Amino acid sequence: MPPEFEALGDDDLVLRARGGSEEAMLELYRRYRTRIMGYAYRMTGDRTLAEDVFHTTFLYFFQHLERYESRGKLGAYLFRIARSAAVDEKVAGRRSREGPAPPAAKSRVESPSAEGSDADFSAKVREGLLKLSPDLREVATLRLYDGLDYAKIAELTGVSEATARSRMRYALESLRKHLT
Amino acid sequence: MCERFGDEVLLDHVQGRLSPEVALEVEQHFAGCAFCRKAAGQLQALSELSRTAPLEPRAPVDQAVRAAISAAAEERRPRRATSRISLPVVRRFRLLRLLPGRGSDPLIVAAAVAAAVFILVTLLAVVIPGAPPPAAVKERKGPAETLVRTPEPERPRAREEERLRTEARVVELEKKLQAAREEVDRAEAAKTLELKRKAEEEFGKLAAEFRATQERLRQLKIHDADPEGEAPKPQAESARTTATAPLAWLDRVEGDVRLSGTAARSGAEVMAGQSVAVGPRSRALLVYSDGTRVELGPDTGVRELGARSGADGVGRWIDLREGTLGAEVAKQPAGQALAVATPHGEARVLGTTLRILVNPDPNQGMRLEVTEGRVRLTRAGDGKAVTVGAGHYAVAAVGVEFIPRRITELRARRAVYFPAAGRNAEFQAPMTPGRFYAEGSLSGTPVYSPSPTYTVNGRVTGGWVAYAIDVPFDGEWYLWGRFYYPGGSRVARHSDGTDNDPNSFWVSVDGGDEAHFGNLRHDDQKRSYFQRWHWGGDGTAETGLPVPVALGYLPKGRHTLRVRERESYEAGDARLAPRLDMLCLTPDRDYHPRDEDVRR
Repeated sequence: MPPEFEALGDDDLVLRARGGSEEAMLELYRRYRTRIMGYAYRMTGDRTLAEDVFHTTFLYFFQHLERYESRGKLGAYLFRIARSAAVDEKVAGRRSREGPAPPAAKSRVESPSAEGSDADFSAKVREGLLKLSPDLREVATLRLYDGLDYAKIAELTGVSEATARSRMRYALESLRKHLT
Repeated sequence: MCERFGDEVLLDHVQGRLSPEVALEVEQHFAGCAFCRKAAGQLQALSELSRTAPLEPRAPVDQAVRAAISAAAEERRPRRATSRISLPVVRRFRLLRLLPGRGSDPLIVAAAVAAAVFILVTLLAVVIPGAPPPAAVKERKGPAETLVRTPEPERPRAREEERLRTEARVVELEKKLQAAREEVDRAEAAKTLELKRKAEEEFGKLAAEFRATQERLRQLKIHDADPEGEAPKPQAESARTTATAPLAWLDRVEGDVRLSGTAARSGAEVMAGQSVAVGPRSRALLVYSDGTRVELGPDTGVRELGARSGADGVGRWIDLREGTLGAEVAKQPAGQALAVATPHGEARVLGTTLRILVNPDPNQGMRLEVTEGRVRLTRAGDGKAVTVGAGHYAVAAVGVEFIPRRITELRARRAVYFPAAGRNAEFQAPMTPGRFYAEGSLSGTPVYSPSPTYTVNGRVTGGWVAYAIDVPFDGEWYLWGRFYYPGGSRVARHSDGTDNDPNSFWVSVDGGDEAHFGNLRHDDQKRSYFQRWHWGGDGTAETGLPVPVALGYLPKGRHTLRVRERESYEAGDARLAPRLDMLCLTPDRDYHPRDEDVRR
């Protein structure tokens, strides 16, 4: 990748992409592929479905570059496309024969539950997250797993900070009820 | 249960975001508090458990996306003059991933078959009549495309130069548009109306030039793809934006309506490229020459209106940024729908009666209601489309199911009213229902706090009233109250001479942060709301006009709303205490409660 592309901001890359620059498009893809894949997986809980969401998101983005309004919020825009695609997957009731991706690293934290094993607790956490509505699951995963603050979550999800905070509160209540 | 540190502080602690001093304080607290220790342990487990290494898409998916990128880039690059059979349907089919475990979508298969038939018919039409093209070379480009390259004709240098200049100008205008848009946003944020008006004017001019230049580039590219066709005639003015005849007229103007930043009056002509801004409590009615009527409601912003040739199925179009639009659309010529574009989707209308509401918040999105006819609504996020028929509505918003629903279902959910002293109310003294100033109330027993002299748990309080409410579905909810303020400078003053005009409560939901309830900020507006029953909500709104309190996101289910006294007033004169008569809960930010709706 030409070094000058790596130094460009997202909006400048989008401008060049609109002019047909494949390098600009590939740089945008490189920047966001991991985040979109991680987000899609957390929203669907299934790797194959997450890959469908991932593919749909980038396909739509690059085929309709003009629909992005350049305001320095490309991440939020891509998350919105991914979110719509994830909701559609859920509405369509699609199921994959493949299950979740195995964790790459075993957690060092002991389960706070005295009764179950780590694997049981892990499964319960996953279950609890998937039971949340997409709104709550989105904020909970961005806060718990990505460690983002509410200003960033608000920017990515397009809601106010107050809404993000209240969604997190309800998400934690629901998770706690599910785990006890 | 320990309330020393909430979940947010504990989460910041386990994720290492606290300052060293606060982190130490939390750790010291853990030593003596099993509850917080356990809560922190749970949060740490939630944060770390199931965290996987950065997840990457598998190779076939990654390759499919990269192929899509190459194809998209190729589409956008200027083409050489070659005869080419373009197969967009088949291309999409090739890029869709088909991993083991997924069946083929029958629609995709049907599309591929149709495309194959199209290829065959087109090839036959090209190849069979007459001799083959001179020096024709068939070049296999892949499973979905075949190029038949003919010797490149001599392209007039002037047209090539014009195309390059036009492309460069499009890029330049895009940047200028972006800057102009940012200037409008800055002026709006700084509330400098004159600067905003100028910025909007500048934006409108740039937008008009941008669309004209884009149209010219499109014509040049069409000619490049089909050099045997008629050469595009250079147009001094684009049909889209610079027609001399007006596009429509402002048949009716009520209140604050601005045309490209300038105050407008009834009868004003609306030219293509202009913007329309409708202020609070204002309305505007646009009428087109074919009788199409478009009504713009309060707080509505139309960035631009225009008309184009219909090459993409659209004739007249309206770029609606936010607010409410109602339309009775006369039957449009075939292939020239009236299009209403919003940040969340686009509706195309050939002849119908409809209503569109747009909220800039993508989670609220765009709502389309169709009274007569049918409207094709395309969602901006992913390009999906639905057809909305008469008596139905659809919402294009993040996280909302994109299907048509019957309108009666929507209207049934618009608002829930309940009395302030109803069966679901629980009181903490001295807050009480009473009959002072009940005349004019709808419930007959508005609630108030007669005196802040009660002591509860050692604290002087004016009491509160709490409501158990059942929220029927997840979403953002808003609260209105029906109030009466007996006070004001005409009634009483404090001992220091200031107005004794208590006019607010506190409201909170589920023990969360309290918000002003009923207070109105601007002095001139405050005066007008004393000594009369009125609906109000968030009195801190800058406009000074009634807007609801935003309760935020509430999941479906049972919640507790609590209204607490806020004003302390000397002498504890119960006659001056603000009254709360009714409450109105709604998921619709634009809904304004009416007494008639309560009485119904």
